[in-house]
Amino acid sequence: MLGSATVWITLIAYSLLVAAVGIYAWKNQQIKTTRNYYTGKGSIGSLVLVMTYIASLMSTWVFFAGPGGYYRGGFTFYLSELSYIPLFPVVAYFVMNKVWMLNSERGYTTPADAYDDRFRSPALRVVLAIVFLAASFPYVASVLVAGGRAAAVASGGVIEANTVIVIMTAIMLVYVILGGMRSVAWTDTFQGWTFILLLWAIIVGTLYIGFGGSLTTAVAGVWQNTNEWFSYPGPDYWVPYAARLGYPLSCAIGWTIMLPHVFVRAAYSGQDLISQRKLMAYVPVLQTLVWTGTMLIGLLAISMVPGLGGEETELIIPFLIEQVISPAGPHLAVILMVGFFIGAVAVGMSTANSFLLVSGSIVSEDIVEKIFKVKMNYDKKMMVARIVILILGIGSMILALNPPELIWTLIMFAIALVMPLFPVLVGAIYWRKATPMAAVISVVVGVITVLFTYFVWNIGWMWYGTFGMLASAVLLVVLSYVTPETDPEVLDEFYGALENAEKKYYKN
Amino acid sequence: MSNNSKLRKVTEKWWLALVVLFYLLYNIPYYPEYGDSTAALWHGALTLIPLWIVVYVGLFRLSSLRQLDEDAICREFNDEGEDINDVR
Repeated sequence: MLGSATVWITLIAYSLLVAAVGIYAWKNQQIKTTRNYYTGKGSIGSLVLVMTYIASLMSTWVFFAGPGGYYRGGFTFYLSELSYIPLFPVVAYFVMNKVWMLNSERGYTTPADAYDDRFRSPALRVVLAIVFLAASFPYVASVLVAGGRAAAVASGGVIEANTVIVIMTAIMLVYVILGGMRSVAWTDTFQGWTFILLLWAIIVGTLYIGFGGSLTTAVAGVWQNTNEWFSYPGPDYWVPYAARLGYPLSCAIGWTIMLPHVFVRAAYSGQDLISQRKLMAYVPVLQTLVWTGTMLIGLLAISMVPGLGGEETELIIPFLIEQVISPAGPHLAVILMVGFFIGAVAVGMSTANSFLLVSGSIVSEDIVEKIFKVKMNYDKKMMVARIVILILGIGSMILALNPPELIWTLIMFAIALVMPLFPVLVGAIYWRKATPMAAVISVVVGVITVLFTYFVWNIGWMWYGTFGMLASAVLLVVLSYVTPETDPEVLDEFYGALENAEKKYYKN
Repeated sequence: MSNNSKLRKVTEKWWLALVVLFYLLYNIPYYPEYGDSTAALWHGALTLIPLWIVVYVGLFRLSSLRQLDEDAICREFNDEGEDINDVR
C-alpha cells in the first residue's frame, strides 16, 4: 500500500530520531558502575520510569496478535485482563517496593542479585540466570521479526523484512551500548507515547470511516450480529473458566512482575519511593489505555468484517486500513498505514532494547562475573558489558533473520516460566525460615511443572504457570522445615538492611 | 508500635483481603453461564469495578498513612556512593 520511498523515509527518519534521543540521554549522564549502566542505579525519575516500564512491557502484540486476539477472544477476554491489571499496585506495594528498599541499601544489578543476597546460594544464581535468560533473550529476536514483518506488510512486500531487521538492530545497538538503561529508558518514553498515540489514531480513523464516529453503533452491531463476542468463553473459546483465572494470574505475576526486564524497572531503577508510588498508581491506567485501544480495534473489526480466520485477524489493522478505510479515504489510509508501521516498530524496539539490556546484565554479571568468578576492574567490566550487548544483539539479529521454531516455543511460555520464581521472592522477603536448598529445589521443580503443564498435560494455554507457581510455593514451605537454615548473620544483614531502609524512607 | 503503625497494618490486611475477595468473586467457577452475554457484563461490572475501587482507595489510604521522609529522599538522591554489591 505504501510506496517503498515512503516506508524508507519514514523508517530512516524515525530511527534517527530514536537514536538521537538515546544518544542525548547517554551524553547527559555519568556511568560510574555497571549497576548504573544496567539498571540506572535508582536514578530514573517517575515519568520516565512509568513509560519505560509500560513500553518495555508492551510488545508487538499490541499491533499484531492483540487486536486479532480480541476479535477472536471477545469482550470477556478484555474483562479477564481488567481483572489482573489493578493487581500491579498490590504486588508492587507488598513485594517490589521492599526489593526497591533492599536495593537502595544493598546495590543490586541483576534480578538474581536480590535472591542471592538473601540465600547466598551459587546454585540458585545459576538456576535463576538460566531461567531469566531463557525468558528474555528469545524475545529480542521475536520482536525484531515482527518489526520487519510490519514493514513488509505496510509496503505490500516492496521492502524486505530482513532489511528492516538489520536497521532496527543497528539503531538499537548504538544507543543501548552507549547509554545503557538511561538511554533505553528515555527512548522507551519517546517510543511509548509514539505507539500509544498511533494506536488511538488508528482507532479514531477507523471509527470515523466505519461508523461515522459512533462507538454505540459499532457496539450495537456486534451485540446484534455476534452476540457471543460478549459472553464467556468468547467466539473462539479463548476464555473458559480455567483460562479466566490462569491467564490473568500469569499476567499479574509472570508478565508484569517477574519477566526480568520489568523486574528491574519495578524494583531497581526508580529514583525514590515517590517514583515507586507513581509507578503503582499510573501503570494500571496506562495498561488499560493500551488494552482498551487494542480491544476496540478488535470490536470495530468484528463489527465491519466478521468471520475472518486466525491468520487474517493477526494482521487485522493493515487489513482494515486497506479494505475498509482506503476506499472511503485513501489519504487517511496512507497516514494510518504509516502509523501502523511506525507503531509496530516503536512498540517492538522498546521491548527488544529492554530485553537486550537485561540479557546482557545476566550474561556479564551473573554468568561471567559471579558464576565463573572473573575478576575485573571498572573499565574492563564496562568493556565486557558492552561487548556482551553487542554479541547478544548480533546473535538476536541472526536468529531474527532466520527464526528457528524454538524461539516461538520459548516466548510462548516465557511468562509462565518465571512464575515459580515469585513464591521464592516472597519467601525471601517475608520468611526468615526459607532456606537456600528449598529455594533451589522449588524453582527447579516449579519450572519442570510449567514444562509439564505445556508439553505433557497440554493445558498451558489455560493455566500457564499457575501449577508451577503452586508447586514452588508448597515446596518452599515444606522443604524449608527439613533443610539447613541460612546463616543467621546473613539473615540479620539482609533483614537489617530492609529495616534500615524502612526507617530511613518512612516517617512512621 | 504506634497507633499509626497499627492502623496501617490493619489497613494493609483489609486491603489485601478485599482485593483477594473481589478477584475470587470475579473467578466464581461456572458463573456466568457460557453464552449469556448480559450476565457476563453484569458479573464483570459487579466484581471488576469494586476491585479497581478497592485497589485505588487502599493505595491512596496507605500512602497517606505512611508518609515518606522527603529529607531522606533528597539526601539519597544526592549520594553517589560506592555500590555495596561491588564491595561484597
